[in-house]
Amino acid sequence: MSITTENNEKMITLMSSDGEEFVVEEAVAAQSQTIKHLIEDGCSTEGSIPLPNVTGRVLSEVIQYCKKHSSSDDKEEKELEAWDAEFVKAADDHVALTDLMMAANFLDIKGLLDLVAQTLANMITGKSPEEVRRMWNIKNDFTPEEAEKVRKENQWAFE
Amino acid sequence: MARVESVDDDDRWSKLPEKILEKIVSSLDVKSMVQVSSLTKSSRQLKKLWPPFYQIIGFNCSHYPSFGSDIMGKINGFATTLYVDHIVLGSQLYNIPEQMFSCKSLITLELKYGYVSANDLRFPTVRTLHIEHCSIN
Repeated sequence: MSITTENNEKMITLMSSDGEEFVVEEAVAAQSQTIKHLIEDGCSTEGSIPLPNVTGRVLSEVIQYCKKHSSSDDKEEKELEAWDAEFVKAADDHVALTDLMMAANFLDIKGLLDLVAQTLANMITGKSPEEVRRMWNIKNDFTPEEAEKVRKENQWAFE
Repeated sequence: MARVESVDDDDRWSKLPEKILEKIVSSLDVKSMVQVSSLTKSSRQLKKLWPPFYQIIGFNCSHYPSFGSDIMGKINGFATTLYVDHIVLGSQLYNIPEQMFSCKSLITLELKYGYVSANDLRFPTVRTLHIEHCSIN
């Protein structure tokens, strides 16, 4: 379904995995290469574009990012950087950021993918493996012998 | 270390596709890269995602005598942990560790003036081997 606004901007409806609908300008949605290709292939004419891998909560964050980045030009780079920093800070926890990263990957939004990857990398830096495991609920599947072997193997990096 | 087994249903980390992990890992410093590649058995495969800089390292020990006897331990660590594919060793001072010869990423190995006291020289992947003035027991 394509609706047109007063200033002739084409609108696209995006549907999240949990059935939430978001009506956004085509230019905003096209920040996602995946959606851009779907639009180009004419997949949006029959109705809304379903995004089965993205929940409404995550999609609304993604749209926030795309709106900001489609309305800013290069001259506002500094301001955009500050906005990005606030944006990932608002997402606040690493689990939410992981979900956001999965969505950015599926939707193919390079800027968002890079931004979240860097944020997660910053969160990991300086943490012990045990702390990182706790953050993500990662099960330590090494036997004590294997763990000791890995520790020895990695020792060079911690001296 | 005692650890309560918690519900790991929502372990999103381990479900991340390789492409995403690659992005994260490539933004880390060396120390964190090593740690992230040691979280679980399956994360060991992340070592191959490390940037090329860490994968090709040539050493010539005779240039670094001040490193002391631990240099071999360090090089061995590099070789077996970092997917090093080319090593140049030259020193009369040190025994070359046995594990070096079974390192699965090593393609080119150059040995100069070294003592090799390994029983089992397997070289599973080495395609070029250059030995010069070495004593092999």
